[in-house]
Amino acid sequence: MTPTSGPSRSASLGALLLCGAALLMRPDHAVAAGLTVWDIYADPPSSAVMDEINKQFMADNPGVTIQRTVRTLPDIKLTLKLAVQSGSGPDVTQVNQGAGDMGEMVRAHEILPLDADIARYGWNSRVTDNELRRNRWSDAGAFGEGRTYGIAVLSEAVGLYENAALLKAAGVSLPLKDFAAFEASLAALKSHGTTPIMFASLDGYAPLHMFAAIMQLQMPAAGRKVMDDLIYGRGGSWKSPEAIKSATIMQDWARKGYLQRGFSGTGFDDATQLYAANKAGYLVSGTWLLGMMKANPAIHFTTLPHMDGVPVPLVEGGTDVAWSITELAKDDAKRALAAKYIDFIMSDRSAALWVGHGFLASKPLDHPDAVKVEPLLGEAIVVLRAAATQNALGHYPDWASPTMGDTLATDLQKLLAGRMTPIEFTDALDVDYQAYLKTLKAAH
Amino acid sequence: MPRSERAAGLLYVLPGFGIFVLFIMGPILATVGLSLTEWNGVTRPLWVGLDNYARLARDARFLHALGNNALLLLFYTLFPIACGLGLSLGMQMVRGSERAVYRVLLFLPYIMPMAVIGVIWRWLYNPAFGPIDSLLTTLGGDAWGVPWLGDFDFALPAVGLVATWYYLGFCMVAFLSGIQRIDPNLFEAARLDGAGEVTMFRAITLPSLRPELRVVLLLTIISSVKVFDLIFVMTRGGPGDATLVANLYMYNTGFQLGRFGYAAAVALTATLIVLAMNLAIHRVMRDQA
Repeated sequence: MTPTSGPSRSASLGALLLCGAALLMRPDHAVAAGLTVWDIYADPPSSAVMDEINKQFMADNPGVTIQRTVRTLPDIKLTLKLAVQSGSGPDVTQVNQGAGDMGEMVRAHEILPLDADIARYGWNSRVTDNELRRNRWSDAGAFGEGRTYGIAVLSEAVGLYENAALLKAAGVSLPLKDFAAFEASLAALKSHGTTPIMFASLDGYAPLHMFAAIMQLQMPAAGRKVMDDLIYGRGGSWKSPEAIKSATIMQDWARKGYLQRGFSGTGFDDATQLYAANKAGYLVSGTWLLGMMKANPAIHFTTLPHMDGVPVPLVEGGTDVAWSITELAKDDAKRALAAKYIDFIMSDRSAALWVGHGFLASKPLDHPDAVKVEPLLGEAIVVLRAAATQNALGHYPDWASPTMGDTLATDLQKLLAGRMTPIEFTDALDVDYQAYLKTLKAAH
Repeated sequence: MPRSERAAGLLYVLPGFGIFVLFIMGPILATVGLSLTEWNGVTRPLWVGLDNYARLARDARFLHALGNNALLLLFYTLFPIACGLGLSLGMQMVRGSERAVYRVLLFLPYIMPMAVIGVIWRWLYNPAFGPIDSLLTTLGGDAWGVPWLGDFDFALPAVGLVATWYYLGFCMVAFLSGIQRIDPNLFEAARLDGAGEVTMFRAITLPSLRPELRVVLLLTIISSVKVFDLIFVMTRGGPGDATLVANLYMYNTGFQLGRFGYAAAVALTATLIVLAMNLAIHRVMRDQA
C-alpha cells in the first residue's frame, strides 16, 4: 500500500480541524439568542394559543428564537427531571406542582426561585397569593412556604358541566337548588333513558376529580385550613367524614347505574368526546375542557350544587401547571430572557389570547370588553371569580404526596367496582399520606 | 493462528464489541450498581446493599405482578403455539397460492408495532362505541356488554388474547417452515405401516419440529416476562392492579415515583427469571445426539 499523498493528508487534517471547531462552536445553553421551552398544551385549541404567544414574543424580540416542545402532562412528569439533570432539558418549562414533581426539582436545585422576578415584574398583582402559594417550597422542604418556584397562567376549577337540552327533555329544571335536587335529577335522567353522568376510569386519573369535588363540597371555605394542611403536608387525616361520604356517594352512583355504562373500560378522552356529543346529562370535570365543550351551545358550566349546611364550600381547583425557569438557564442574559418570556406569558396580551380562545386566564383582563368571551367561558369566569373572592379555591388531592395520584387511581377503580368499602378506601389514602409525613419529619 | 492474525481479528471485532459494551454491557452493569442504591434520579445515590432485593421479596405488589406475568404465559406461549401448530397442519390441506394468502394475513399482526396494536384493540374493546361490545349487546343484550379492559376478572385475559392474536401467525410460520423440512417419505412409510394421522403427528411431526418449538418457546416466554407496551397502552396496569406486570411495576416505581434503585432491582430480578427459564428450556429441549 502506498502512503497517503500530501494533498490528501492535508484534506484529512483540515476536515478533522473543521469537525473540532464545529464541536467547540456547538450551541449550548450559555448563548442567550433563544430559549428552549417545554409546555403541556398538547390539545389543538391550547397549542394554537401557545404558538401565537411565541410568535408575538419573537416579533417583539427580534433575534430571539423560541424552540418549543410540547409534551403531555404524564410525559413531562416522566422526562423533565432527568432531562434537566442531563443538561438536555429546557430553559423554561411547565412543572407540575406537588411533592413528586416541583418539590423534587426544588430539592435538587433544578428550578430557580422567581421571587426577584415576581417583585420586578409585579406578577403578584396578576394572580392571588392563594395561587402563588401552590408553587412555594421552603429550604427545609415545606410545601406552601418559602420561595416561589413557579407561576401559572391559567386558573382552573372543577365543576359541573350540564347539558341543558338533555336535562330539559328529562324534566329537570335548572338551576339546581341543592345537592339533593342534583341527586334527584340523576334518577330522573336515568328513568328517561339518558346517561346521568359521563364518567371514565380506564385511565385511572380522571375519577379523582369527582372524589375531590364532592369531598370539598362538604368543607366550608371558612374552614379551609383542614384541606390546606392535607395538601401542604402539615398533618391531618384522609379518614375524614367528608372523604368517606364522597367515596360512599361515588360507589352508590356506580351501583345505581348513574355513571356512564362501561365506564371502567372507557378512557377519559373518549368520555369527553361522548359528552360533547350529547351522550350524558352531566360531566364533573374542570375548566380545562372549556375549549372542547364550547362548540356545543347546550353545554353549560357551574359549581356542584351546595350541600345542606355548607353554603360556601371549597371548590376543587387551583391553577394549571406552573411555569418555571430551570438551572439550565445558566448565565445572566439567558436568565433575564427567560424571566422576560414568562412575563410575556403573564401579560395582558397573552391573557387576552387565552380568553379569546375560550380558556380561563389567571389574570383578569385590563380591557375585558375588548375580548369576545364565549358564553361557556363566561360561566366559568363567574365560578372562578366567586371562588377567588370567597377564598374558596380548593386543591387537587394528588398533590398531597408523591404517591397519592397512584393510590387514588388504583383504589378509586377498586371502590367503584365494589372491591373496596369507602372506609377501606379512605384508610388506604391515609396510609399513603401518613407514610409521606413520616418521610418529611425524617428529612427535617 | 499466528499472533499477528489474531491481533488483526481483534481489531475487526473491536468496533462491534465497543458498541456492545457501550449500549448493552455498560447499562447492565450500571443497573446492577444502581440496584444496590437508593436513588431518586436527581440527588446522589445512597448505598443500601441488598436492601432493595430484601424488600422486593416481601413486596406483595411485585409478587402479584409476577403472578400476572405467569398467567400471561398462557396467552403469549401456550395458546399461540397450540393455534400455530394447528394452523400449520391445516395449511397442509390448502393449495399453493391460497396458502400464501392465509400465511400473509395471519402473519401481518406480527409486523405491526405492539403499541399501535394496543391502541387499536383499546378502541375495539371500547364499551361505548367498540364493535366487540356492539355485536355482543346486539346478540345478548346489555348483560353481554362487558367493559373488558375495566373488569377486574376479564382485563388480563382481554389483553392476553391480543397477544395470542399477535403471536399465532409467527408460530404458524415457524412451524410451517419446519414441516416443510420433514422428509415426506417418513409419512409414506408410516402410512404403509398403518399409522393414523394422530400417530404420525406424535411420532414424526412433533419431534421434527423440536428446533422450531424451542425457538418459539424461547421468544414467547421472553415476551411474556418483558411485556410492557401492550399493557401500558391498553390498561396502565389497571383496573386496580389486575393487569400489573413486572416491567410496568418497574416503570412506575422508577419513572413515576422516582425510586430508580428499587426499579433497577425489579428489572434485574425479571432478567434473572428470563435467564432461568431460558436455561430450563435449553436443558429440557436439548438436541438429541
